[in-house]
Order: sequence, then C-alpha cells, then structure tokens
Amino acid sequence: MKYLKTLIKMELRSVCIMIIYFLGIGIGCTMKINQQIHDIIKRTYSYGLTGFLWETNEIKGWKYIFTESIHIYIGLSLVGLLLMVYLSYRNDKNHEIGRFLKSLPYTMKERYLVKVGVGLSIFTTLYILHGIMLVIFRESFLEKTKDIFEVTIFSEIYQELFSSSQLIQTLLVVYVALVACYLFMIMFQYLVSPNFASLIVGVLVGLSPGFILWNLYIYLNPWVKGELLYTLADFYSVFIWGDGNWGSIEIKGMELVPTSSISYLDFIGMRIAIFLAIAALCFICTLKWCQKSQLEKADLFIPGNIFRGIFVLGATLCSGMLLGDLHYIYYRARNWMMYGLGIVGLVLGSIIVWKIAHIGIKKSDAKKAKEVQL
Amino acid sequence: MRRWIICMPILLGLLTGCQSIEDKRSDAREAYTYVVENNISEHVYRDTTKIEALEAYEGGEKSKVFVKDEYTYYEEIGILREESYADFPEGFDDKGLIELLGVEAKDFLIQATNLAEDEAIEKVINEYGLYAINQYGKPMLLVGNSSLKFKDEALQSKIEKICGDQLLIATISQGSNHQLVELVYPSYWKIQRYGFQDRQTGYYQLFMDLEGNIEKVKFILAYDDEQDGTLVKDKLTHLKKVLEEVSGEPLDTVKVEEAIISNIESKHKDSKGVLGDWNYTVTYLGANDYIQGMTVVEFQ
Amino acid sequence: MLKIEKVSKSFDGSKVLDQVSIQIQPGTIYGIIGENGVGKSTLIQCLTGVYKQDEGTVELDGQPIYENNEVKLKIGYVADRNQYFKGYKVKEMVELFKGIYPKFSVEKFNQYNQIFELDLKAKVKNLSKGMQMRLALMLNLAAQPQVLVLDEPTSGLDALAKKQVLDFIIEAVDETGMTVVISSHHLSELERICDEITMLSHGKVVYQSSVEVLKNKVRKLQVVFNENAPEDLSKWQEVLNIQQIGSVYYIVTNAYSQELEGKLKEAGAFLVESIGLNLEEVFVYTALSEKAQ
Repeated sequence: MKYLKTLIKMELRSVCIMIIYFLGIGIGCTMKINQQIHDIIKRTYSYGLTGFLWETNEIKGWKYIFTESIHIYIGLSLVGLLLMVYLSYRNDKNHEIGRFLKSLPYTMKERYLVKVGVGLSIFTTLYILHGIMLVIFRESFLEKTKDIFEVTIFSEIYQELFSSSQLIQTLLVVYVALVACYLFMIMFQYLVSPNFASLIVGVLVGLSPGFILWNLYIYLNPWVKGELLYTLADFYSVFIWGDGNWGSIEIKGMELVPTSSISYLDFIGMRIAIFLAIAALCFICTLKWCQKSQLEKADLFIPGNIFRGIFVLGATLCSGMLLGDLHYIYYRARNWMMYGLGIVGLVLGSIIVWKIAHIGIKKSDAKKAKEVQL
Repeated sequence: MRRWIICMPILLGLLTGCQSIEDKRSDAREAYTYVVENNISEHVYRDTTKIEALEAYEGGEKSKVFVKDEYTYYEEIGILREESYADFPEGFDDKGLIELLGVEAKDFLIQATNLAEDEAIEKVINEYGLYAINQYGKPMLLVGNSSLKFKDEALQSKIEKICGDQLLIATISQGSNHQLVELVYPSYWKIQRYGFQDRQTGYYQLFMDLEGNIEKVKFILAYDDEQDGTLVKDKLTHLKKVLEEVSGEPLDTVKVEEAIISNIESKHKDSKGVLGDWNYTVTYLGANDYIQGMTVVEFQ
Repeated sequence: MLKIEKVSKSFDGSKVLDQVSIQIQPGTIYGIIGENGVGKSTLIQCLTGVYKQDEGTVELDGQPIYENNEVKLKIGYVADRNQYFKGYKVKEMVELFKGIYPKFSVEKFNQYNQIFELDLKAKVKNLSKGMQMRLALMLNLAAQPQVLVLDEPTSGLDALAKKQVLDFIIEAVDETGMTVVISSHHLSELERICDEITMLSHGKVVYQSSVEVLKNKVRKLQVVFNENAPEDLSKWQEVLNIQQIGSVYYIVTNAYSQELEGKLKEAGAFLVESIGLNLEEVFVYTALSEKAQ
C-alpha cells in the first residue's frame, strides 16, 4: 500500500478540482433549501397561516423542496462524475503521457483501483457531508414549522412525512445509484478509446435500455401483448428513475377528500440491491478488462471485438427506433410511415454506426507506415 | 439451446417478479396513504348575519366593492378563514353607513372624512372592522367582518376581550392537541388585497391548547422599511393591552417596545428578554412580496 | 541480462516486428539502428513494458517485463518525446520520481542539473523539446535503474547538449555498470559509444554484432580489373553495392574476407584495396541493398 502512495497522490492531483465542485454543489443545494424554507416562513408571516399552505397540495410542495434539491444534486453529481472520469483518464488517453504512465512500475489493475478508490473517496466524503447538511436542514425545518403543523390537521402525521429516516434511505439509494453510474462510465473508458467519446457512448448506452423498452412497446404493441411490454418498461423506469409513486393524505369525515399527494420511494432494499449489483458487475468486468487494455490499440475507436459487435447491433436498433419515434411523437399514429421510417433508420444507422465502430481499423497503407514508426 | 435454457427462467422470473412487485407496490402505496380528521366544525361556526348585511348594503351614490373570502380549500383542510369586506374606494355615504354599522360608528366616520392626506385610522365597532385612509385627496373606507365564532362561549368571550376594539378573528385552525387563532387589524386585510402598504399594520397569532389555554403569542408587525420605528407607536401601545388581557395581569412593556423599535430601525438587531412570565424574542424578517419590512415578536 | 526472444508485433495486421531476438549483456551500451518505420521504437516500447508483444518473450534476468512492477522498477525509459503531466513543475516531477523509484537520488539529480541548469520551478509543459529530453534523462539517471532505455535521446539537442548527454551515459555505465539500450539516427554518436548494435530492416534483424566486427565485415573495396569486370559481379552474394568511376570499381561487401579478395583476383582483379566504412556508411549501403532487393 505504501508504494501506491505516489500513485494515489498523482491520481488525486488529477481530480482534486472535483473536491471543490462537489463541495460547491452540496453547499449550493442545501443553501437553496435553506433559502426556500426562509422564504416560505416569511410568506407565512406575511399572509398568516394560509400563507404556509398557499396552494393546494402544499405538503407535496414542502416535501418537494427536499426532493427537488436531491434531483438537482443528482443531476449536478452526474455531470461532476462524468467530469471526474474525464479528468481521471485524460492523461492515460494522451499518447505521450499514457506511454510515460505505462512505463511506470504500476500495473493496469493498480492504476484502475487507485482511480476508482480516489474518485469514490472524494465523492463519498462530500456526499456524506451533503447528506448530513440535508438532515440538519430537515431537522431545522421541522423545528421552525412545528408551531404551524401542530395547529393543523396534519399535526399527527407531519413528523412521519418529514422523517429523517425516509430522507436517509432516499440518500442511500441515490448514493448507490450514482456510484453505479460512476463505475459504469469508468467501464466505458476501457471499452472505447477516446476519452470524451467514451463518456458520450457510456451515457447513450446507459439511456438505451429504457429507450429500447419503451420503443418495443410502441412498435410491437399491435401484435404482441401490450401489457407485458408496458410492464417491463414501467418496471425499468420505476426502478431506475424512482419517480411516479404517489401516496396521499386524505381527510376522514369528508368522504375521504384527497388533500395532498405525497411522492415516495418504495422498494428501498431492492433498489439498493439492483444498483449495487450493477456497480459490482461494472467493477468486476472493468477489473478484468483493464489488465487486457493495450496502449497500442488506442487508435481504435472500440478496441474489443465483442463490444464492437454489441455496439453496432444496439446503436443500429436505436437509430431505427429513433427515426420512427420522431414520426410517432409528431403524429401520434402507428402507421406504415412510422415503420417505414424505422426501416430507413435501421439501414442508415447501420452504415453510420458501422463506420464509427470501425474507426482506426484498416487505414491506408501510407497512414499505417506513419503510425508504425511511432 | 443453452441460451434459451438460461434466458427463459430469467424472463419468467422477471414476469412473475413483475406481478408480485405490482402487489408490493400497492401495499407500499397504502402505507403512504395517510388519513387525518377535520373536526373544526365541532368547535367553530360561522355567524354570517353581519356579512350578509354588509353585502346587501347598497352604498348610496358612492360605489362599493364587496369582497368575499372564498377559500374553500382551506375549509377542507380544517382552516377557517375570513376576509370578507366592503371597500369604498371612491368615498362613502356616511349617513347610510351609520344605519348599518350603528351610531357608535358616527365619530369614526366623521373623523374619516376629515383625514389629512395619507392619514389613516382604524377601529372595530359592533364587530365591523373599519379602516379609513385619505389617499389622493379623497377618503377611502374598508368595512370588514369576521363570521368566525367559537361554540365554546367562554372561549369566544375571552377572544373578544383580547380583540377589544382593534382586532378581528381572521383565521382559526385546529390540530389534534393545539389550535391557532389569528387576530388581525382591519388595515391588514387592505394590504393583503391591494398589495401596497401605506402605514403599519399587523396581526396576532394565539397558540392555544384545545381547552383555550394560551401557550404562545406571536405579534407580526408589517411596515414600510424606510420609516422609522416611531410610527408604529399605536400598534405598540395596543400590544400592551393584548398581552395584559392574555396574561390577566398588568405588564411593563417598555423594554419590549424599545426592543421592537430598535429592531425596526436597525433592521437586523434581534433580541431576547423576559416580560413577566413570558420569554420573548424579537426577530427581523425583512421584505416579502409587497410588504417592505416585518418584525416578529414571540412571547412564550 | 536483457533477453528479447523471437518477438513479433503487429499493428492493424501489418507486422512491425518479425521474430526479433536480441540478447543484451549487463553493463553494455547497446544500439538499435534502422530506417524510419522499421520498428525501433516499437521494439523499445516492448522492452520497457509499454507495448505487449504478440509473440515471443521480453525478459530481464529471466522475469517478464510487461505488467511486472518489480522488473519495471529496474528500468528507466527516456522516450523520443517526453511529455509529462501538464501543470507539474520540474521539482514536482523530481518528487514524483522520488516517490516511485526507491533508489532515486535527489543529490544526483541536482548534480546533473548543475550541468543542464533547468529551472526547478518551471512548468514542464513550458520547457522546449530539448529541455524535456534533458529532464527525462536526469530523472531516469537519478533513479539509478539497472537498465536505461533511450529512444532518440539526442534528437532536438544542440551539439554541446548532445555531447553532454552521451558523456553522461558513458559515465553512468562506468560508475554503476548500468545497461543502456539506445536507438538513434545519429549513427556517428552510436559508433562512438555503443559496444554492440542491432540493425533492423522491415521489422527483422539484419545485423547483430559489435561495432568493430560489423565494420570489419562491411567494407568498401577499391578494385581494378585487368579487363572488364565479371558481368554477374552485382549478383554476387557478398556484394551490397557497386560503383564504377573510370576503370575503378568501388565494391561494398557485407562479408569481407580473404576468400572474397581471392575470388575477385580470380575474376581478373589486379588491385583489391580495402577502405574502412563508418557506421553510417554501413547503414546506408545496407539499406540501399535491402531496397534494391
């Protein structure tokens, strides 16, 4: 471990700016909550008790302050994690610096583990800090609004609605999901050679299962039982996106009038398990592949033959679906035009994707000779 | 063949899993369904006699705008609110109004017609909240009423004493163990409706248990941020009466008043203190929407 | 001992190294020469663990080099272009090397820097190509490796700097018994310092011997025939190149021996005089001969 100290310092230096970034977004998101709470408290005093419950479903609005903050944090974190992966591999993907790094007495496996370790350490530390701040603000919010809730019909449920345990569970799910995304993006650094392109391909591949599932439903619904496809697509979106679950607060004695809908995250355990499994799979696969990655194949867009094949198939399928989708979105009709455009998309897509996937393979003799001398 | 043997169980598992997951989703949805009770109608009722009379009043030759609070959403969630009033933006027929409001309103109405530019007065007479101001050279009048009353007569009487001739009940809300009554100055409704502030106003929040024992009082003062604290004198004078009525004993509120004025003038100097059995805090909240400055005084 | 055994390497189906075998004795300075694009850099990068050979083995003291930390600790590599991390200063690179290589000596680095005079606070990216080369050399020498591999170390350097670099290398070998593997286009320099050389052509080893032996084998003969020269003279196996100026034939041979002199005399030569060639001339004639084939 001691001999890795220099490698750790080296990797840390590459991504140290991300410490400032994650700290910034953590502080920004929690300050946003603080400001929103402060504004609503002020509004409450301006308008009286009804200023607190200004619009219908205000309880949803109150909870939304926290979930909105988490959504913003997720979005900014994903950008930050992509940036961190980019910075982490920027030197490795540079021809000359990469050559220097390869000549150093560190194996590819060690370099990978250190990169992942450093990245996760930075992210986890700052995420925990952000989580603690959120919990503190949640408690502060309850303290400030206790007076108000106690004198409303929500007096018996507000503690549970805004319980910190729910928040912590949500944060845990979000953390595991973000870690899975991070490891997924790192995996693509070894599947696709160019640094920036690997991020783009990784993002597109990550989004593709949902895209394909929904489009299978759109395309095949007339012939295949729609419920099955819909269930699969819905299952995927619920587990990956986590939204769309709504509980409610209802008032007894008034024919159970729903007064507020409450978003929640269910199947916490299962979600964590699924994301952990994805993270573990990405980690283990990358651990195996990194040892096989070779600097001399850096000119190939996709060095591996198997992934190249999968990429061509998947991207062709998506390009076909995309073209037909555009027609469906505009006209909201499944007709021959949609399927026809789908086929055109498949054909065009296959040509373009093939060319992209084979970048770096079978160059002209003149170029070969020039590169060989390097 | 081997691929099918591997894929089929996964697919079946996925399908059956989806089905059992759907059941579990329903269970989770039920777990996040909360049922609460709204029992406020057992404790509070509405006496709309005076509002109906106000609405029916034609106003003579002067125009009248009648505003009725229609916040039924709040009724559903157990918050009863009142903000119904008649507004006379072009002036008022004082003779006609005396018939509606009672002879006790005569002096007020005479005073209202003789106000200097930007001068305002307000009072509660016969359960009508009156607010008059001379704006742009003509007198404008707002006449409001609150229909909200407690069924518990002792509690209703107690609240009326606290209100005196300055305040009206604006909001009542109840939780499982506590309730809130908001008492407002008539000028407060004008600001809420017209969105500008020409003098200081405010309201009180009385936090009580369900038996009516007052546990906490909040006094919210809204003012023009550029004015100095001396202009809120009349509200501070009334604060003493309210607190004495609530606590049932005479109180020396000089220090509290000084703390409030200091808070308004300095804008950020929050303070704490003791007044009789009460601990108080004075907090500056700043501007919000069209309210240019707010100070909240909490007595606990 | 550094051993390269039947190493082959291909890029995009094109064979760059073809069954190359080299044995480098400890404490020697070994040169690798050849035209552009024959695979010198590829061979060097296989030697330093940057590239993985497709076939064959590359070992140091019986241990494979690729992905082997213990062995890589003993190898220093100075590439033809030495780009280090952007944003690092010279002194930070020194710290980095110190952290990586246990034997790294800051005192030695400072000694070398007294000659090269690089500003320790300068950012590496702002250094010229020559300065970067000097920095790389100093860092790797200060790491006191068992084997130092240099790829075109003198390219881009002025005459004085070239001399300094080569003197450094010779001194280091003298002091520490370090093994040095060096590739260069400047054959006059290699001739001066190398004990042995390998000449590559189209990925294959053409010559492999000490400089002395090579210069003895590849010679230019000044020949005058009684009558005409034999018609098949250019097709003789030993002949690399023939030039005729008047009646004098200048024959370059890659297998000079008394037997060849005898053969020429039998063919009608009455004057056979041997002229020595320098390494550069050896290389040029060999390359021309390969091209002609």
